[in-house]
Amino acid sequence: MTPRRLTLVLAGLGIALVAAAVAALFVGSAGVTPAQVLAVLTGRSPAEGVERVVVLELRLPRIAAAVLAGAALAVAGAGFQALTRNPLADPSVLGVSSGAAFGAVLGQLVGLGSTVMDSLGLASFAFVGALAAGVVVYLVASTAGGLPVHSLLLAGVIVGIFFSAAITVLISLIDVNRLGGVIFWLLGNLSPLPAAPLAVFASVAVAGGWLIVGRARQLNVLALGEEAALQLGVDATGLARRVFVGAALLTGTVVAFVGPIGFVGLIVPHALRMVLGPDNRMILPAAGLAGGVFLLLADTLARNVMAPSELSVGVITAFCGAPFFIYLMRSRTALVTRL
Amino acid sequence: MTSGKAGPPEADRATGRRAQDDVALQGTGRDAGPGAGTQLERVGAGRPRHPQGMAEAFAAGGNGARYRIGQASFTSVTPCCISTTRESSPWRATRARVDVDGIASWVEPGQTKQNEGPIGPRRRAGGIARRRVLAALAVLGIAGWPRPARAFTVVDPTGRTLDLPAAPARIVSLVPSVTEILFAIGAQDQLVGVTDFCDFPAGARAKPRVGGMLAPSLEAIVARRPDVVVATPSGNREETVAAVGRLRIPVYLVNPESVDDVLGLVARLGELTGRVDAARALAASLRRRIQDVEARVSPFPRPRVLYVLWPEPLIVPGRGAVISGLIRLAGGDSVTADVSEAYPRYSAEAAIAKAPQVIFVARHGSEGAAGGEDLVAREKWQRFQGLPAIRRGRLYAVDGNLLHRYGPRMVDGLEMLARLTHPEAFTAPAAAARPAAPGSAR
Amino acid sequence: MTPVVEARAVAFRYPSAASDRRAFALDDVSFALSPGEIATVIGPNASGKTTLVRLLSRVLVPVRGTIALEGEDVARLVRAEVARRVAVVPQDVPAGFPYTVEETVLMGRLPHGPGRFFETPEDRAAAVAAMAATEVTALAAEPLARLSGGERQRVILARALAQRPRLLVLDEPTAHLDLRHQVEVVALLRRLNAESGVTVLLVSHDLNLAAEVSHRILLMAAGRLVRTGPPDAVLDATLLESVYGCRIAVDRRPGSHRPEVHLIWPPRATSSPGARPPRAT
Repeated sequence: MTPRRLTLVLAGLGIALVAAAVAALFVGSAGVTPAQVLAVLTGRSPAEGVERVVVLELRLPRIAAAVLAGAALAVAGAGFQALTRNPLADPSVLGVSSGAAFGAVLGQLVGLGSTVMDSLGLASFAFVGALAAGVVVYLVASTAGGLPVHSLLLAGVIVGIFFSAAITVLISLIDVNRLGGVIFWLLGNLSPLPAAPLAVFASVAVAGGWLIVGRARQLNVLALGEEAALQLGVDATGLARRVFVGAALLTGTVVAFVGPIGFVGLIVPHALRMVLGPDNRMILPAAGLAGGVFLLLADTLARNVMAPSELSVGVITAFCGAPFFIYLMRSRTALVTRL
Repeated sequence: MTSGKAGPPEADRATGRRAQDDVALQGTGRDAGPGAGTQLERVGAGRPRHPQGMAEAFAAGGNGARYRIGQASFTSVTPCCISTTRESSPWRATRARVDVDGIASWVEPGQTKQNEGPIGPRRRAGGIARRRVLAALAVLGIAGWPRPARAFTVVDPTGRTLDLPAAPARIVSLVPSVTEILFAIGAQDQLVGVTDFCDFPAGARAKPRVGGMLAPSLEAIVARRPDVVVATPSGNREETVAAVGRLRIPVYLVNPESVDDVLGLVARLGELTGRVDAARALAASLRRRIQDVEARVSPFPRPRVLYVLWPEPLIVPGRGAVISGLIRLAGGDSVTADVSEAYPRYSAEAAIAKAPQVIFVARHGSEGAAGGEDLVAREKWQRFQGLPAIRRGRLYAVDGNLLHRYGPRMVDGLEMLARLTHPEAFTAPAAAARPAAPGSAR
Repeated sequence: MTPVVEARAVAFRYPSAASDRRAFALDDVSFALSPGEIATVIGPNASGKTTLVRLLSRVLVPVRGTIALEGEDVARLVRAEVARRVAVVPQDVPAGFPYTVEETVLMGRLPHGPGRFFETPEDRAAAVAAMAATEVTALAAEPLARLSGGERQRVILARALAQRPRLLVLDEPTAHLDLRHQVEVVALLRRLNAESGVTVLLVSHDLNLAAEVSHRILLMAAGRLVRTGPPDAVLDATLLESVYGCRIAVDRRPGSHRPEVHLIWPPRATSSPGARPPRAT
């Protein structure tokens, strides 16, 4: 892979991202005309106007949240698939999603809304849950010698099952009035985040992404197997640690800020591999941009399909993701060569 | 959700009449205001918990006492928005709430001194009584903390203060029962946005919609340019409320937890919309009908009632649920009212062991569209032939829309429950002419 | 002259094998390989051959003893440095390996720039040379999964060559190959050894291959080095019979006069000292 090819691909995806973002700015249930949106964007709209609020305080932050979440999930998915050499691995396999979901449900149960959490809502609870699950998975999986990938997978699944059961317990304790909110949250939903959480989200996502993308070349070598990777000078344990922490950070923040959104981490890297080949140096950064585009489009659909009611974006991604997953399963042998 | 109720909660609800023995409470204020000559009398069983100081005098309202100033009587004087400030240690009232027949008004001390007229919600009847109340407040000495004047200040039932630039002309309701109340008190023209679930009365369906209760479109809300958004912690999500707040749209939170709360809510919404008289009339009519039901069923023994809110898993109303209150008013004893939770999951075994004599199965969904759960539940419960209720054929499906929505139709629901629980009470010729159902007003 | 690799009294035990009756997978192994030497490790299954390969490439670290690469203790070298000195050719790549021939060979350049995101022109030149040496240039754009076993073997070898190692370790290089390809690989190894002077360590079950290409043969049994020396000295019928536990005859190949090992059928009926242990090598 050459820098030139990477630049071309990323530039193309970047253009697609900007186009999707612009399109998303112009559509919505408020019935703001394109001319009004343009006026807002060029600063020619009245300061107190509804259009200003809709475009700058609702659509723009929501677009930012969608792009960040999509990028984070796709990079985490691609990274985790490379790490486990399992093309069907998804960030949720880490158990971190369940942990975060548990945190969020717990937050609802203890009657969140204490003023401390006003700015971040469920996010802080979810984030703590994600971190806790991540740490548990890590501790369970790590042995004296290192962090074997199969232990990581297994620990992730087990911890995920445990937290899912814990969620069920909590849900049966939860007040009926709050149940709707919890289930709504569990479906995965984007909302316009205020500036401060958005900044936190962005920084954690960038940090997590850097941990993974920076080791793209090593992840390629890992496809040869752990022993072969060691023989090529790759510290497989350190790499596993780094990518796991990165993926857990990415997944955890996404789940914390927008809820557990499935399938993005599965679909986007796969689609990209089919088009661009397996090289992680291409796939990981491209997944960042393409994931952003995908989730942004999905969310724009979610906002507008049944306007003014909103679908959960998690529903849209799963709706596209499930058939894609089946397609993958059925054509697995054909795909093996390009996975 | 948000800050809890400010002030003593009992006072908020104490709209019921009580035996009164006169206990005079002399003002203990530091400075005498314009109405210094008016005496505030406290009439009621309670005694001041803190015998001196102005906030303490107000806190005394929290134990069910009633007050009288001259001709006007009112239920409670409750200090609100209690806050700590830098210059004064512990708690201090920055604003007081006065309930007159269930209609609250809010007074800011600094303004009481300067203005003779009422300060709180402006466009309201009851001026004389209010003026006297204000005067009395000045007597009590809560004056002295200047606050910037607001054109329209109101505190919602959960104790949050809303400072509005003017009385709200455009209201978005995220709560179906609030939508019903607004229609019933004739405030529908101020209602500019409703949820997909606001399906009653028919006029509500014609209002612009902003989405569901859980996930309304913020854009659609903003596009309605509301002066205030009415939401509830039980049904809307905290995130929605927070997001609307961030968009600088005031949120009026309602959270009725009892039949009295619902009547109070009617009054408060009248205050919010400036339709105080209509609201008071509606509240009074609802109260009359409730009292009528109580009177009719009171002579009869109270059967054990099981209310099936949801069949699988079995969800029932617990002690805190409004429905439990309705069952009680309808002359029944809810067998599940022993659970402290509002809506617990309940073991079918435990419910059967209570041998209910009447079983109600809630029918959900909008009118006409059968949800089907009631059929499931009926089949399930019909099998227990050993139950007294089943043996006597006293398993009824009831319209949940009447019982689970805390609007004016709740009293229709109450009457329905009462007729089913005590058919014998309603066979006798009616004692009084029934007032028109307020839900159909308009 | 500093040996390319020198093992001194190396012992190794797998952590999970503590209760195993033969606790040590490798014990008291000492040998040294000179630059340009071709040596072959032979021995029955579970004799410790693969463990030895792992120790040389620092996948494993000895419990006792030291391994030195060009005089430096392997434990003190950073992993990339080890990979610049020792290249290992495993038997095969994992199933589902998605990369093309060129991408695979370029992976051999990672130790020469572990911090770099992209390969340099030198990396590309080294890969091109390695592909040319193993005659896979024409396959450069093919996915590895679509190649035959022999082609794949040559690609993996090219990847190892791209590492530009001092020591080339091949684990069963002919295991998947038909006779013609076996001949080709042997010829290739000889040529590489002659042209670049790389030291080659083979691990093989093929005693005749060992006899044909090796300057020296290391015979292992039960984790110990039983005998080290030129093919003539190691490929002794009595010694082999005792190690492998079957009837063996050794004679001379007509042209090269190198020893040629034959299995005699039927093998001895009695139970053998080197009976098949459970662990694979």
